[in-house]
Amino acid sequence: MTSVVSTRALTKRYGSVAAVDGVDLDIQEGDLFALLGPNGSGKSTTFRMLLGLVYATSGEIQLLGHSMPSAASRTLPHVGSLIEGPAFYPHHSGRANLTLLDASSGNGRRTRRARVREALERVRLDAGRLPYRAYSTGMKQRLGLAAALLRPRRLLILDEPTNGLDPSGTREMRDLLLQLQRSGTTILVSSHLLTEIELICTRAAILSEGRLVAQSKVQDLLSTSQSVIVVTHDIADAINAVGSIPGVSVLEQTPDGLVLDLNGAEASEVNASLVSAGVGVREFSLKRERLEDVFLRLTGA
Amino acid sequence: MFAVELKKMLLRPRTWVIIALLAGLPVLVAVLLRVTGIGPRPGEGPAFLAQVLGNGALFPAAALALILPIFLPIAVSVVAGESIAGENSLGTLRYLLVLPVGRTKLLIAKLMTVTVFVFMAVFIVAVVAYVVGASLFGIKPLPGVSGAAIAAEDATWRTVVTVIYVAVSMLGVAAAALLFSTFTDSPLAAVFGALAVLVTSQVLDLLEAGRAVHPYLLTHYWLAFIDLFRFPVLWRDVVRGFLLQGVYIALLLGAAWANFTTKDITS
Amino acid sequence: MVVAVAAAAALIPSALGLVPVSKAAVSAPSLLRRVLASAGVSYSGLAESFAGLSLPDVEGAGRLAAMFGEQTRMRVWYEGPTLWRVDELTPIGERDLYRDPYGTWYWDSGRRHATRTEGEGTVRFARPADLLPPELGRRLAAPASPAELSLLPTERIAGIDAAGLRITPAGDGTTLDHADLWADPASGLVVRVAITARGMKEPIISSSFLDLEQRRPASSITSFELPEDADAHFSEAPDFARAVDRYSPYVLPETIAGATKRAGAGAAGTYGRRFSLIAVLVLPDRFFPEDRLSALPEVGGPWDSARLAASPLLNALTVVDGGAAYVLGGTVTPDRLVAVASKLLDQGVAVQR
Repeated sequence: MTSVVSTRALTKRYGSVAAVDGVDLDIQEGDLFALLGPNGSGKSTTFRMLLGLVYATSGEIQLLGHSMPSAASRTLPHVGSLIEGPAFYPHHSGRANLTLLDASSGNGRRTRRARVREALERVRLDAGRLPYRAYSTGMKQRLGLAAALLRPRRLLILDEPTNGLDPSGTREMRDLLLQLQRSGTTILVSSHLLTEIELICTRAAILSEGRLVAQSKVQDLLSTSQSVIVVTHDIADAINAVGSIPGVSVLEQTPDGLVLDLNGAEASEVNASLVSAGVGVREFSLKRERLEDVFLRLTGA
Repeated sequence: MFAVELKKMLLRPRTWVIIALLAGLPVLVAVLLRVTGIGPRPGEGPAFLAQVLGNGALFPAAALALILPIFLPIAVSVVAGESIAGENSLGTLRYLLVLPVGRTKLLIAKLMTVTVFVFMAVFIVAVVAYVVGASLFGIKPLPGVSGAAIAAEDATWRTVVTVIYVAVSMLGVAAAALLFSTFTDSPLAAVFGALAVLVTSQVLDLLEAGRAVHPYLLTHYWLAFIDLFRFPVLWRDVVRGFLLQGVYIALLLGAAWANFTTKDITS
Repeated sequence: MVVAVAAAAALIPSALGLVPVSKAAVSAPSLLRRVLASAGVSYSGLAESFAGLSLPDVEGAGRLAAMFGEQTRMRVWYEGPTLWRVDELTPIGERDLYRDPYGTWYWDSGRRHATRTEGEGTVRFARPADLLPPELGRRLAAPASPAELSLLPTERIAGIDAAGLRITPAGDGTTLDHADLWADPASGLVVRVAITARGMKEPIISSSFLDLEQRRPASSITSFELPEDADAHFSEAPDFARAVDRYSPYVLPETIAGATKRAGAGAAGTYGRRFSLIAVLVLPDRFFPEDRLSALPEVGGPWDSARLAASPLLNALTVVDGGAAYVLGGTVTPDRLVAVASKLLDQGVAVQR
């Protein structure tokens, strides 16, 4: 496995405020990596630093094995991106816009028409001569993605790619990303539609107030913390019984039971102490955490 | 890159609207002169205009003198001020830079495009003015400022140098607008910045008290192209005008480059 | 030790004062002689003059007031005293004066007017060409005596290491405090002039070459060719004195208040010597547009009315008395003008016919 994106202590300060603060990202080849975080957590600034648009105050960035932003001219041709929404010339059609972009990037002239047509087909956009300013939000998003796919990419950096897409569009996007990942493209994506990400991402990182609060496989993120739901009438006895087990704490108290944080303890051990203390347990179940819960817990939202 | 920028400029309807307006003002003046037969009083008003009634051959020079002080620099400021700030406000700048297009390369391509626009505009105005002047007032040998008529082949090179001089005179304004264009996301603010420089320069140039700084003002030598129609040609101010523009272009572009290449693109 | 260092430090400025500044290799009197003998030096160039006389704005004197109130740019091609061309450049045109041995062509590019004048009058109005450094320089140098001269540091002007000469007039009621000339020590051609009036710190008139070539100009440049599209006019020499005589029956005396007549005849003439020159003219008061001068301050004296137009270098006094109007003006103080006018009225002017 080779590292595609790697940052060390990446920091961006605006005056005394740190927008990104000591972030160490590590994205491996073949990852479909999700960067999560609430608005203003530093996702976009991080993306912009990776692409050489914003200069880091300190720290290092390696993109496809080269140092950024100094190696921009070598690495960026292999990187497709969508940053804070698409942007095109409003009075030109989508096709004309892609043609201009392709020409600006210095790609070969002979195969230009074919490349543009292919990119448009890939995102299923066929708007003819309609100028960009008349596009719907979804069409604009597709055109943005088409621009990112104008040539074969080793890495895609996509900021909120499902923004403005309807449910079927979102599904198409998800399928497209999976298809791209399978064909060997590494994808770094940010999204607020956490369920979508959970379904397809291999790894994820969570940013909060500029700091990286978690980074690992999605499964690992989900299992870092487990809790059990105990349904019982003997709430006071139950609290007494689990109080003697090291680490275990009461997360929540409901009219018909408790939610317990296991914090490393074995669920069977908890069950055994409850039973031996004579607590009438009507239901004992492991609570499955969803990515959204992890996100909300880690970002303190 | 330059080819793409040039194509973008040429494909924009706005480019042609501006050039049509630039050429339209002299045409309007010519028609008014022809219909009323009232020219400016001799020795007053815009250069050469007083004599145009009698000889249309002077109209290209008169037309350039008409648009030179205000109209042309405004047009140039609009085009140049928009160049970076316009891409920035549309958001297309970030996608150009990640293609990647080098920032220095983009800046040079923009300047070259503006340069082409300026030369194109001045050339078209001169040609339109010649056609209008010839059809409304008739063509006689070009009368020199110093009296004797200027021979035909002489008149050609003087007119060509005039067109080049007027165009080059605009490049300083273009560089200023380009500099402001790298500072702001708002094309309007960049245009306003360039116009502020322009007006300040012209006001100082009118003030007797500012005599010491006159030779350094961006606009000081603009009207020196009239010296090309004297006999013998007075090269002093024309040469200084060329050099001064060169210095301004170098300074302003240097500043624009220094700013643009170190700037965070956050739009 | 500290004291010694302090003393040495204190001495440095005075020691530097002892280092000789670059001085012209010529003496002041010989430089003056060369300037006076420079009328035959051929040259061509571009000169800029600035005159801040701020003459009172009197109707009809527009051109003259403009010439002495602003910057004038001139191109000149000078072969000799009777063959030259001076172009007064304006932002949108030029006014050219071509001199040949028989007269002048005057060309106004704005109106495309050409005026031919044969001969030259004895008394004429000032013209921009008079402000060219060589002309102005010789005019200022002519009355100077050796005692009034001092050398100024050499300066590089229009590519020439020009020797500097200061003329400080001694007394005699002139408004001129000093005149500085810089001239090519080899040819004597004056390349810069700066005139400072009494009580002023900055020069009131300055004139300097920006470019200069000391070579005979091509005759194709100095000869005027009448353009086909030009209006051509012909006029006699505008001899101002003779023109005044046509309307004025008066005859001015040979001397007034100790000042002798230098030029002119009949009702107009110039008086005085050296740096104190007064032009006088007298005419019937019905030709005198006194109402136009109402903005000027009145001056009391033995006359019906008098008005003074004052400026640092040039002063003018108009007096109306007994059916006659007197105009006196020159490079003298207002007091001297008033004294001369009183004396003139005292002496009275003769009447022809």
